[in-house]
Amino acid sequence: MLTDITLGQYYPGDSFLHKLDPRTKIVATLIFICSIFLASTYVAYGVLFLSVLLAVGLSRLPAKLVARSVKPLWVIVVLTFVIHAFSTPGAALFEWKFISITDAGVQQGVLMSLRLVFLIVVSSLLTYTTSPIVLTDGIESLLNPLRRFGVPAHELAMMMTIALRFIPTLLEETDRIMKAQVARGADFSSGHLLKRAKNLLPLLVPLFISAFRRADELAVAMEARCYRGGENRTRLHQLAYAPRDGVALGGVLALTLALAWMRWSGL
Amino acid sequence: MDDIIIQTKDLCHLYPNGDGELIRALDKVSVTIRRGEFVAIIGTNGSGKSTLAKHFNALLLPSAGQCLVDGLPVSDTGDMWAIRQKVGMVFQNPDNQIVAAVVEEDVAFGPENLGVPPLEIRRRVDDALAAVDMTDYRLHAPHLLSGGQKQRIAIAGVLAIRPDCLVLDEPTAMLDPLGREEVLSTVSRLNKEQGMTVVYITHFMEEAVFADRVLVMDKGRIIREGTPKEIFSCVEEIAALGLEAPLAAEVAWHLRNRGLDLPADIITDEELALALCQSN
Repeated sequence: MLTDITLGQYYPGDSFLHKLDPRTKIVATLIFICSIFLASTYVAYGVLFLSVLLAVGLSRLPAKLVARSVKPLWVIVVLTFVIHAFSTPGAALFEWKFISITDAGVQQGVLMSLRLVFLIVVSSLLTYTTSPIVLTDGIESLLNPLRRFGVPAHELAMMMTIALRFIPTLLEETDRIMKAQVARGADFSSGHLLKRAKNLLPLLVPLFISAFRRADELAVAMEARCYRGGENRTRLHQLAYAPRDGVALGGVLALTLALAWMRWSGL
Repeated sequence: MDDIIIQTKDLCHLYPNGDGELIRALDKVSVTIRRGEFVAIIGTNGSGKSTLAKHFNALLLPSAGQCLVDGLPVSDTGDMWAIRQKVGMVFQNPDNQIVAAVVEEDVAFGPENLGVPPLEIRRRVDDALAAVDMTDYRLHAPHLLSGGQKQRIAIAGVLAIRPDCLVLDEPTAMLDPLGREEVLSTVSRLNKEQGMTVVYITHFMEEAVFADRVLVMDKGRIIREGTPKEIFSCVEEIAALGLEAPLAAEVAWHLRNRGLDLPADIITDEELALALCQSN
């Protein structure tokens, strides 16, 4: 049950997007997200839509999977549409007492919701095509230059690595403690919300104690294996840029420039 | 002198318990471990065997006395990393010593810490995984492996540091019989084939039988020392310490008491079977 949860949403494959360096993907995703906010006209939205389609195509992910990424956030998308539809001034399409929907509102609502959908799809492409481990390496490498300003790049990456390693172990343990307590008559699945939350307490206490014990043992084991922070550390897997990384970054930059030009030329 | 890898002289370790009293975990322990040896340390819980082992790679420092690793005193903190590189340590709980979410990255953890160049890390990882016979699992997630496999990964992680000596602190205590067998055979193969010095702490007497030498600890002291045959043939003495002699030794002892003519040094099942067949 609990142990079935897979971490992240990595979908293995060997498409163009899968093969990109994680640093390229992170940076390109950030630029793409920024450029989404440059779009203001229908033509610009059309260009954006085509680019998102192209990116999805390059990832060779099943369309269903990509569509599913929007699902958990549909409430926010709908809410965005509703708020814009009701609150933008313009010619009224529908009026009832003090509520009115305007034509400009509907238009604005559709565009805003589209922006959100693009944003969600693009960022989930990053997590679909990059395993959490590689993603961690990428983040560490990108943050590394900021170390001299006091950003603990290595420490953050090590924390993420250990979290990735131990989340399944802790889930397994939670499952075990839960079963042990259910066997002794505990009830985790009935009652109202507050009661259920209360029932979780006897689950959390042993879990926390064991997590701290694990942390302590792991620290000793890491020290025994000569761990002494990020200084002078080397890595088994070294990230290396390939020509395709240049192509991807160039593409995203060209898109951003095109959208910026469209915005200022009013197309 | 050169063939001695670890030597302690009157090593004492004191620590305060919850009430502020000083507990004497080690009391004037003097041991010598030679290169290529397979030494087992046995004793009940709280006899000080883990405390002793933690001195071997400077995880604990002596309160009094000395502990030398390849001639370097562990109390000299300047040599700490050199010492940890010479003596690798495997712990009891396989889950709590694996750092990375992929087997080969975990094995690489040690050499990465030492700043070994990536190509050399690759070679060490491949060698270490081959040495524990886990090459096929190099891209697996550790939490999906069995206890015995996880413990072999932990051993590989230590081997990748290229230590002179392997200290295992009850590595099989949390494993099922199959996992225990896997770990023990891996360790004894490393000792026989690669000449790796092994210090094996255990409370399973059947495992200590495979050692060249057995140290028996009780209340922070080494009270007996000898070959497995010397130690385990004294079944009564072992029992008086709260330890259980290997089953074969115990059966042989009972049979001898009933008047059967069996040699006094039977400690393994095979020896017992052979002796029984011959006595008929």
